[in-house]
Amino acid sequence: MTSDSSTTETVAAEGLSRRSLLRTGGLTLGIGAFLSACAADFGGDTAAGRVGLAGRPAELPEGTLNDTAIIRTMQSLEHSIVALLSELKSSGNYSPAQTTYIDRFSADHVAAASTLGEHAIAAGSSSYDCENVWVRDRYLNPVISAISNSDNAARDTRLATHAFESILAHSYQHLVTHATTPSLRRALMELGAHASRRSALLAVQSSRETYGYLGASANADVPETDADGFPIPYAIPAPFGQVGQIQLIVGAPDADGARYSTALQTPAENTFVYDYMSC
Amino acid sequence: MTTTRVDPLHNPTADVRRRVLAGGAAALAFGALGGSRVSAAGMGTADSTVLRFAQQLELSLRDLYEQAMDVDPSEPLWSAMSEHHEAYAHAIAGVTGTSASGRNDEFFGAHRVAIRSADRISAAYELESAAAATHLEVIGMLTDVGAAEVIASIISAESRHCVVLADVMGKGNDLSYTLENSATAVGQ
Repeated sequence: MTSDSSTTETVAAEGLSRRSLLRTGGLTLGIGAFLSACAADFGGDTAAGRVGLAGRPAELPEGTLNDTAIIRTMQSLEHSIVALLSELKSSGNYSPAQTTYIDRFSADHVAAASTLGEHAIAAGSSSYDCENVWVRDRYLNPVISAISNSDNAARDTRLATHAFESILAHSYQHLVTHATTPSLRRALMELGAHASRRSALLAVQSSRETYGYLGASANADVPETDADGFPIPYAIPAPFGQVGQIQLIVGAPDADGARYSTALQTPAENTFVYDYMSC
Repeated sequence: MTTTRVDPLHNPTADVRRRVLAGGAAALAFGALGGSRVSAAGMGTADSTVLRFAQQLELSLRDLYEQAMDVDPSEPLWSAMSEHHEAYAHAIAGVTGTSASGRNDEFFGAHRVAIRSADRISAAYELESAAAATHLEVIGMLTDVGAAEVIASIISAESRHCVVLADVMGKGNDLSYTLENSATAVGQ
């Protein structure tokens, strides 16, 4: 019976190496899962495991959108526009007549920033005497860069100035809904009214002769963009003051004929200057 | 061809259709502001009183610009201004839950002659400046956020009106006219 015994041993060895391993492995996993489910909670860190010796990332404080954050945010935007106007003026793209306006606008923005700083201090916070970092990175730098390479820098400078004055007006009006006191709402709209006037003045100067004063929301007969696709600034774009985004197109066309385009927006989480932030 | 127009003083039901349309436009335009907090619920008496005053001022301005349309029908700004101020009155009505009716007769009577005069553009500039200054006072008194949102949008718009009227006056390059508001608020 030597041959039968040899066959039985071979089969047994093959069964052990495949079937038994699968059966044993499955049983082990099952028992492990069962015991884990029945185990007591021993506490400890439940975060994902870490590999290496790198330090833990610094966590930002939790920002709260309160009245002082609103004030400091608008103060930062005023500083941002002062910086923008200064850089655009340095590029020499304003006409002499426009430079008169821009000098006055800059002085008004500096005064507004100072007023807001006083409000911030009076409300128990500190004055924020610098630009809004997010606005600089997201809007100012790309817009200034696009204008510097534009096929018509004077046109783009005019459009950009109007767009930023307009979004400043929108921002003041928008933040009224977040302010908690009537006195702050009044203070915001006092400055917001000035921003609306600057925006309207620029629109009058650039569009009145060709397109009139009333925008498409107030006069269905007028176009929203000119023949080249640039948004037309209107002194009265709509019957009510607006809080929406402002489309800005500047720069030279690329190989496909497309220019740099961005949508300026009113302050949101990324733009707010919370109390814990400093210059 | 001579264009004639019925004086709204003697025919208060004139242009009802246009007013209804303007009211609808106001609702649509204000909807674009995302006015989710606009509600008539919970409005205090003090807020209601202040808003009623603001609404009457807006209805007075609507009627004053209709007077300007009456003597100067070729100028499209008058109809636009009249419609805008009616829209503001409707927007305020949407907050207070009251109907947009009843102007401030004293204010209307004090400015009717000026707005019908040859110097009507200058009169309109003064009216818009006074209205914007008044609404600044109003927003400083309101506790209701939804109401403040409406008034803020009116302040922005009337500030723009001032710049346009300054330009029509030929003072578009005068930065004190276009950028500053030296008017005092209308007394309550």
